[in-house]
Amino acid sequence: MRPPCPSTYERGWFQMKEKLKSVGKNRWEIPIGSRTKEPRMRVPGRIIGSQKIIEWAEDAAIEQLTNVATLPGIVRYTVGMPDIHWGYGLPMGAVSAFDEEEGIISAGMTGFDINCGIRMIKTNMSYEEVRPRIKELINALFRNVPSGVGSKSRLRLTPGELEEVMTRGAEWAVEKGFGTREDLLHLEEGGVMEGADPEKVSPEAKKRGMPQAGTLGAGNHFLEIQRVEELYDAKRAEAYGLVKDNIVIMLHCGSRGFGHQIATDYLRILDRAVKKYGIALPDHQLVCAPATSQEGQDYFAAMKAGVNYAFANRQVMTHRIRESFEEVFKRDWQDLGMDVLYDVCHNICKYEEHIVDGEKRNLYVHRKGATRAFPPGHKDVPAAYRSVGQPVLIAGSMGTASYVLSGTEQAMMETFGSTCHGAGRAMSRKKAIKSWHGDEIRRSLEKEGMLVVATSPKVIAEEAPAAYKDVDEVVESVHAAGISLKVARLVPLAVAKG
Amino acid sequence: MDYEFLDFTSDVLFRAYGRDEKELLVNAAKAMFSVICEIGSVRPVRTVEIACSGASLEELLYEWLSTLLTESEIEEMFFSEFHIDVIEERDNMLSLRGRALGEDATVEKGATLVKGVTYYQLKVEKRDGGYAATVSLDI
Repeated sequence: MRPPCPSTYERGWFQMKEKLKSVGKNRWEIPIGSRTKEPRMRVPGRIIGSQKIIEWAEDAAIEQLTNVATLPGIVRYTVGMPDIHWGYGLPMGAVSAFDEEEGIISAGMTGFDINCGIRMIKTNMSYEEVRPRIKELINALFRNVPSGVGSKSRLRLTPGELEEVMTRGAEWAVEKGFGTREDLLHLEEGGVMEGADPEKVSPEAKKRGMPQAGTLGAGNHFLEIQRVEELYDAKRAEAYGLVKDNIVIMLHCGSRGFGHQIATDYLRILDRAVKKYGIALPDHQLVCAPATSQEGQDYFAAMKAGVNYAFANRQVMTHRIRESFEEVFKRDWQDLGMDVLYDVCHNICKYEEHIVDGEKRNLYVHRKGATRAFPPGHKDVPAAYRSVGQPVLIAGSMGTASYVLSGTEQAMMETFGSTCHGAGRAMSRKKAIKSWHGDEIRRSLEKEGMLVVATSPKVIAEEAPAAYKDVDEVVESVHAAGISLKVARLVPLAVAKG
Repeated sequence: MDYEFLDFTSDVLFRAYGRDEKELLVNAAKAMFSVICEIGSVRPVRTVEIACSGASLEELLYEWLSTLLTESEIEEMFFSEFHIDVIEERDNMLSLRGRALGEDATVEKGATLVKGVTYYQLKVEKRDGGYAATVSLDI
């Protein structure tokens, strides 16, 4: 197996992995001394995953966990999830929490795609009912939900509307007729993060955001029709409204160019802040500012605007998805049982209360390619699910299974209320394009009973199933570690990609 | 060679070359837009003025590419031709004025979405009487 990036190769392939210590079933520690350069690690690293997951993990991603462990105010340990893979600064599939007084807030640790996340919409239709119409359905979805580079939204926000999107998120979309108030009761944060400040968002970000609301984007973002293949937990499945063999829709997207621009703007601002506050950085991409500083709080307020934009974006697309089903089945979406199951954010920074060493503390929790997994009884779990725990939505790669999991107390105790987010990339896009042609992948998936529509065959090749890790192994790891529990396995029937 | 792509698991890493600073920046822009769109079929029929600055050539390159990306999304255009009119140094800052030419973005000519230019492995080196720049893009 070749190293994933040149820096790893130069430094020796298994230098970090050799330092891992098993600290329990599916738990590994990267000891404090693992990083031998300045700045030194303040806390250890922790990885959740089976032996196989560790074999798959890139040394460079593990090294990134040790880099983050050097930052001021880091609490307990940096956490790598089983879907860990190299990212900018913080790896994807990682969680890091910082003290509200001594710690930092980082744009690099939230990622370019602020509030990239997953929404699931249920239906009351069985696979047998939908099967004959799948092709028609996926084509209607592809037509109605703008996707791909160069696509245009039907919705053009005015500056006033964008202001409302930034502060009110999905609530704005519902008020405009894109869904119902009931939808809002089934979203993380109720679809709006309080404290977003449009003044902290640049004119460029606003200009980029106005034409893009209601668009899927491209790359690994998708819209998929899935069948509930297997239920593992009858009580939780019932609470979530999941029925075996019924059809659900999974939507994966984020805050589009609006969020990308906020990230770009604040990488510059926080780059200056690093120098101003004398923070020793092990990696330029980890630019950050003290949590109590003006720059840190400005980023947090701007990031929330990005978070709300993504919530509104997924809400508008929910409406388009419902319209598409209505168009094909000639029935109201309510009649088709198209309620929102849940909506999770997996690129985000949250201000949360956690218990650390028996003490209640307020922390800035950065989840990059990681999902909140709050337990039964937690006040931030929607009332409808409070008795069983928060739904966790995990996307597989194209052509592979996805999962619905449930948050646990173990996640609160061990991983700052977090779990994995998906499969995690294993092969570069360049290599994927060289290895396969999109049309071959499309045909082979069709033979297996899955339709793919995309703007170009290249996108299909880039996202080929074999370019990703095995999502089943990732999910088995978090389930075995108890940081979230399996509720349902979903298999894809048709996917629309950007 | 104007530019080449290097193997990189998560995203895109490229190396652009130029006999001078201007050519280096132009070739880096071509590399980035060859990821975003089918650059060979994008007609240079509309012009957008670009101005940016940075404390070093590396920073200027980062700002140039980030500004181009921002402008292409704001204007909903793909760019295929780039010109640097002036690079000047004042108060320890390098400033640039240039132009990007292209046409309205369409799905047919679109390729891969670039979320942003990153600092990862960002490097400008002088070599063989010219320049080489390494840039990674988050896609």
